[in-house]
Amino acid sequence: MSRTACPYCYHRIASHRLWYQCTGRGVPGRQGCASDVDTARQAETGFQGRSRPAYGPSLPVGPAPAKAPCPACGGESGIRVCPCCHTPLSPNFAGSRSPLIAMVGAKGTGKTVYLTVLAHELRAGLRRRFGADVRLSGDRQGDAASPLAWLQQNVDAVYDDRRLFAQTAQAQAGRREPLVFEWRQEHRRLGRTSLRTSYLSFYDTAGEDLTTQSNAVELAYLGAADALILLLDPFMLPQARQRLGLPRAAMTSEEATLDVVGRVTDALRVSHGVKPRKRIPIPVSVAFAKIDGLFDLLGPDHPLLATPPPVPHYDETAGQDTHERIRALLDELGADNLDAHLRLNYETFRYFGVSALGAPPDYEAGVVDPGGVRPHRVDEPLVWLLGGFGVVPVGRK
Amino acid sequence: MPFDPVGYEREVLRPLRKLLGALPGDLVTRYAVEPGMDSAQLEKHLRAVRALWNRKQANGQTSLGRVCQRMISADEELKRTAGARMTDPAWWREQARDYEGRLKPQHDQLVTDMRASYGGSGRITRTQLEMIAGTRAELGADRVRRAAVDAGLTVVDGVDLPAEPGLDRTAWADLREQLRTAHARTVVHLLHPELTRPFALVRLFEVPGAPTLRLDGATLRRRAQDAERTADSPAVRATKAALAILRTAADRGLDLRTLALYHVVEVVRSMRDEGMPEALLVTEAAGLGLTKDDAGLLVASLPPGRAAPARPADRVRELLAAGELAAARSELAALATTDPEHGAVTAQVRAATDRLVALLHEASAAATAGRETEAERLLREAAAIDAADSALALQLRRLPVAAALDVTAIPAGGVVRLAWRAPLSGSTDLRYRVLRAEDRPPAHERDGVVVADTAAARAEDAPPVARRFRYAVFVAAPDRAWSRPAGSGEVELLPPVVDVRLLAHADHVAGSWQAHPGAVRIALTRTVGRPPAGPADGTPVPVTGSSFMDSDVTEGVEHFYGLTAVYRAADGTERPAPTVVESVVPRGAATAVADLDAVPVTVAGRALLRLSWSGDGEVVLRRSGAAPGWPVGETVELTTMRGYGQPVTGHRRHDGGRSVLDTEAPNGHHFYVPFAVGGTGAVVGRPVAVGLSTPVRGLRARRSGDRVVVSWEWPEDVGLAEVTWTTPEGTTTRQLSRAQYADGCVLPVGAGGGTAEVRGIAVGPHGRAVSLPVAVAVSGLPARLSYAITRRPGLRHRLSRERIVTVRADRACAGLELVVVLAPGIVLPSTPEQGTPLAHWTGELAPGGTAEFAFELPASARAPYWLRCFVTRPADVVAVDPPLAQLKVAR
Repeated sequence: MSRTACPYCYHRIASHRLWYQCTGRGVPGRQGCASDVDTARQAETGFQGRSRPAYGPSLPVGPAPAKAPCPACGGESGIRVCPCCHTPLSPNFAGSRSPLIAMVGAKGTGKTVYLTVLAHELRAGLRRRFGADVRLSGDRQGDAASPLAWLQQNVDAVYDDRRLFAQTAQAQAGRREPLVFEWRQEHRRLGRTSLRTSYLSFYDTAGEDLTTQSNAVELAYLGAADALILLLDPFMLPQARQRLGLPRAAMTSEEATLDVVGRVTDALRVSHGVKPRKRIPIPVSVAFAKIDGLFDLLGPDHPLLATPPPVPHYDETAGQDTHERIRALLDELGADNLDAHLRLNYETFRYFGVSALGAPPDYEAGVVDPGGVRPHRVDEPLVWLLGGFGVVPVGRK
Repeated sequence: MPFDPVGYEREVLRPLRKLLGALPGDLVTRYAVEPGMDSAQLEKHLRAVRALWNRKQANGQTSLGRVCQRMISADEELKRTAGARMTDPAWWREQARDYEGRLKPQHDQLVTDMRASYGGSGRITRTQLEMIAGTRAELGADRVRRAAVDAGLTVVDGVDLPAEPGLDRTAWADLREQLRTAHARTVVHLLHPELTRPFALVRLFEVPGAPTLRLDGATLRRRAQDAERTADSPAVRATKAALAILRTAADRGLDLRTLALYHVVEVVRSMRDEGMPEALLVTEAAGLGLTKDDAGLLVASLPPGRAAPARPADRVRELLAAGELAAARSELAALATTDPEHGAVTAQVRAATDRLVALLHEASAAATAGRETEAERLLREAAAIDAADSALALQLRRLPVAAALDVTAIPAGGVVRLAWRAPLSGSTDLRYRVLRAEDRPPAHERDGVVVADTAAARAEDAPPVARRFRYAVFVAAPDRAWSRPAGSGEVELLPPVVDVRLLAHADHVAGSWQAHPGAVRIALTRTVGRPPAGPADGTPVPVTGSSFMDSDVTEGVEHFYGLTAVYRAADGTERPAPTVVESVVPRGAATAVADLDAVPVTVAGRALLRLSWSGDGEVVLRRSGAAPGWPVGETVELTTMRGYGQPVTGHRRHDGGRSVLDTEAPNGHHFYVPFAVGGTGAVVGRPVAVGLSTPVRGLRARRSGDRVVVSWEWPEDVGLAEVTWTTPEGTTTRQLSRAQYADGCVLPVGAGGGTAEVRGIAVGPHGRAVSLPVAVAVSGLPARLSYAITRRPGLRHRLSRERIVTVRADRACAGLELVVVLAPGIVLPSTPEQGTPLAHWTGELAPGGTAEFAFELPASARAPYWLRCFVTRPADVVAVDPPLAQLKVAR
């Protein structure tokens, strides 16, 4: 039976043995359970609200039934919750595949903007491209910190107000409410069509979380991640910086890219228990953000500027081409040591060049280009990972 | 018992925010360890506590974050020394015993101190407890709370007691005095004289056992009615006076419970300031009628005051500073003559008395001289010296309010408009009475016709016409006498004619007007070429009712008509109103403009609207958001025409037999209407509807390969854009909404490039409004040369080092020079210099034509390596790589 990570508390749980949450209805003659602060949920996720009690399946082994009576009030409930943090999960979660995709990057890389645009793309273009039903899951009962509110606020800021964000606050002991998307799609196997649901969890990690060795190690969610999107800022490559003549405000960090990647590597090695002689097994999308800043340097006919056609599969051939061209670009910019580090520490990784905004913003004023937000290949790092998990098909030219 | 993070934060962490670096010495409190926890529970509990610290410490900018950082730091130290024993219940018991033994003397001392300080009321407020805990970090908040319990104190939430009565000082002193005379202990007893039960007042007014009793306006009114029915006596008079003060206060929105509570607080606080112990204060508060609980709560909540009674001389000075001269005199009388400060204090009291007498004298003189403003100021100054002097309050009430300032009365049409300024007075709620009298000013507030009784400083009157009036304004304030009159100058109302309309024809002029009903006749004169100099200047023109017809006119010359309404005064004489003059030019009727044309143009970089029409007669162009309500060809008066929209301005010129006018045009939909002006008025022409929107801004095009992304900044009012893409192959036009623009406008680009032209479109209730176009040129796509590097087919070539390069161009390429390079390693070569040249090829290719050439791999080539073909000449040809996997030779 599959053990998958809870998208809220990051503990590995058996998805076939989810717990239940009392509905509070009770049975005739017995009053339903009252709502109260769930200390386990509070301790694991920081959720401060009240919720009804959670309880486990009555049988100690075997798959848990879809519904079970509450041992306290007798009321039957089909609300499924994580056995560790008691956060309600979608009814489709039971038995589903739920790859946890962590996103890390140093301060000022543009993670929040990237995640906002990616989440927006997930619900718009990407959903259409793959004929999938994608929706934001696990809204925390619409409280102020709900992911939906967070996402909506960010989408409004970037797309409508054309504002950039301030630095994201540092994570509290690696805990942050993730953005969880439910991806539901038809699958054909052996001539039969079935429905498959996957959960994609993203975290908006503050760049400062990675600026010290200890904090990086403490990022608990890295340990639970099934895959990683490593967002890097090409402006932090010294030669790129010299050749582009960027404004001072665009330099959001003085930290070397290799140092950041090195800390992530250390954190992953520790959290996944990887032996020194082995490579890290989880797939890593190495995405160079703000690639629009290099457009003039590359010239209008460079393949990295091209936009691939929106085919309903991941194009492996085009992906490999992009990977090799970014590697060549790194070499040209004197960052071949970064490639060497990745090759020698990761089993599977792939380079991508993305731009969440599509054009350089006004860094001084903190506003998006007046022409609006025109994302450039932001979905590729995710689609490659989804292809690896079997969520979307993979094709070759 | 599960860990309660919220309670822990409230009880343990938050109180530590104010302490500079100190942490509770009691580890049991610091970690909120409960007695009876076993090892497993302890381990779980400590993990939860540390998780909370970690969560909170992340925000090191807040004081709570800093407290948690200190907690974590101390915890690290403790873990280093105690280690695994921290999960041993015996270790915690040992810690608790150690701590108890260490702090027992401090705890006992605190219990004694608290009992002595707060034992009187038996209560201590949470604020007081926190204050004490803040000074005893080593004990911790929990221990301080336990000490309070050991001292027999009840911890209560203190209440904010009123610090001001809400009345001015004189009224408050008067109320206190009246309460004393009326034998009412408190305001509550004044309103409920029959009340014998204790009552709650601190948080709300409530009488146990009598829930219907209230402290509200209705109770006050009932009590006042009862007092009116009661036989007169000094106590009843004082009761009525006190109730009147309360009524005034209640009318101003003052809460009677707050006022009553302030009275009790003042009494108790004065006793506390005298040094009365807390226990007796509670008894005194209960003696005033409060329940025992309320009395204790009130005493516990009293704001900090003087710790010890002041010296007698200081007390006299304080009373003087507080404006209580009579009390200061009494205090002085009790001051021993041997007191070293007796002389100085006596001099201060005498000086205050002298000043009071002088102020009263000056106020009296000012009042006699009619300088009420100054008199009021002096009396208020005197009241600040002796607030309790009821004679002073009476004198102030008897003083008339100062007169209004700057009264003006101006005839305007058929009415007289009056305005004035409020006098300078400390009184609020001023009211004004305006009166008029014929041929004389009103002498007092009932002399004449009342025009208005108002709180505003303006009024309007419609008096009889042709009469001479004077107006006067009188001012009153609650409990004050009427002011002297403030008069206006003489006013005579003579309304002129209004709504004069003249209609000119080629041979006559017709006119009409409206006159006041009081007018006895209208005098009409005509002058030609100039306005009349006065009512009698010009040729009289006969009138019929309220119109005339003048046939003695000359076409093309301006004629002026003077209209004078005449009224009859009381003595029978005629009084003329001001003359109204209007002019007109007799001429023939105009012909409607039927061919107005409007075209958006750009002139010297400015977006303008070009309006043109045939003919050169007088035409007035007007613009409006609404269509004209008249049919084409209808004649309207010039005044009516002027009421339609706005005039269209610009320099008119003639071009090709048409009149042309370029004008700045606002965005949105507008109707442009030509009015041809003739003798009969303005003839409505055929309107033109024009919809203009704002052009897009910041238009840019970025080509990437064979497509170009055109982007721009959307103006606020534009929701659609029309993109016209012109290339050598042809022109295409497409429309995009803002939503469709999400990724910009993507267009295919070929060898010839093209020009993108974008117009903003705003869609409104009147249809589409289109902007002027904005254009951007896009460079063409270079020639693309695709290639493949393969081995010759067949099994026998499987191990051959020969490779075939097949090239194909999408259009004609002359003077081509290609180079194939080998680059060892895993990195794709970006330039030919990054590899070793293996083959060169020169030649030319036709569109779609192919060529082949071969080269041999060197025997030294070892995987991994790359083979790649580059175009070295000409510059406008780019090589298109095959899938890179075909170029890479891996191990």
